[in-house]
Amino acid sequence: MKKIIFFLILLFFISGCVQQQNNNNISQQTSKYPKDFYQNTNNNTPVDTPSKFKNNATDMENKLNDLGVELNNLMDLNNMSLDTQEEIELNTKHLSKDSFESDL
Amino acid sequence: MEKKILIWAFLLFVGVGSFVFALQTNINIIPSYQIIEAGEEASVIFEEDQLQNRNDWTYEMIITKNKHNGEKTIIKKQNGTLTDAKEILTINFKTDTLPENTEKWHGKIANMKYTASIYFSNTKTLDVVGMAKPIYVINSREKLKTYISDDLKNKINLVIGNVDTVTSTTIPQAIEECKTGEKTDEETAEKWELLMPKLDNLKTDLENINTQIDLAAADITLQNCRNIDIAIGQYASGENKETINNYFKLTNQTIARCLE
Repeated sequence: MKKIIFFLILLFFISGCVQQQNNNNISQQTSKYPKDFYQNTNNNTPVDTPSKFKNNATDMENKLNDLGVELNNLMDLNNMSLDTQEEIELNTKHLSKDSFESDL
Repeated sequence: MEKKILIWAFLLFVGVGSFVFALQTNINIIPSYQIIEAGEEASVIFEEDQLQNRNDWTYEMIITKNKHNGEKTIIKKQNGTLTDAKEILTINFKTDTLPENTEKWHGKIANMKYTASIYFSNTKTLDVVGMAKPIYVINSREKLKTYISDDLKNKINLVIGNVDTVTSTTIPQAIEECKTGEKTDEETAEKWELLMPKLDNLKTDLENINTQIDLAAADITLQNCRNIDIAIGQYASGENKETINNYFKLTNQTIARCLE
């Protein structure tokens, strides 16, 4: 009977030591992070709101600017088209011999 | 008096008749390929089936090379007299290899232009009718196909995708910033709202370019390449120009008035 009681006390003591060791590990891990991060994650509040807004503003500015440049570049394609106007003119006018030869 | 009226009426009839005939004269010019590769042998067929009393007419077929600086050189000339039977007139010529300083379609595909021309002249009435048609010579039909189906299509698709992103996400965000951010400007927000449907119209024009690209990639003809140019021309028209100008103004206005 004495042996059983001694064994239970020993078991209780060992489990208490293991629990203490786990608590030490957790506190060491959390202490790696800055105090404000720890607090914010615990409270579920957004982190560093002003810099996030600045990133969005830059991203928005870049996207708007980039599309403007792309749309403008496509406009330039129009200046490199085949010469269609000349064919239309040639096909619709019936040439006199003089004007025909002066065209050559 | 009546005689004079009759004579004038007759002259008017003949005059109008000749004019109508001249307008209705239909000359077909058919090159062997719509797009010829540099160095290739080519032929051009000229057809005319409406000239009357055909043996009164002579013809002259000419192939000219149009240089990029505007100079024109006659490469080949062929003439003769028409017979009463309908004739198919053919002229053959060999195209040059492409020099370095040729024009480039959309900055990519090197091309040079030739012109196939014909005129018919009536030896008795001294009437002349003529027609000319440009023929494009390029470095490679395969390169043209790759350019259309890859380079050009990717370029248009990229812009369409970015228009989608900006109209669905970026502009609504900008409008929200202008309405509720730390710096607010209602006028800029309203202008963006007015511009959105115009960007949708612009996107429709871009999608039309894409449709023409698909058709040309499937069937490389001069007309299909020109249809791409026509669609690009439509995109670059007045309304879209105004939309893009307003877009630039609003972008700068948003940065200055709404963003931190």
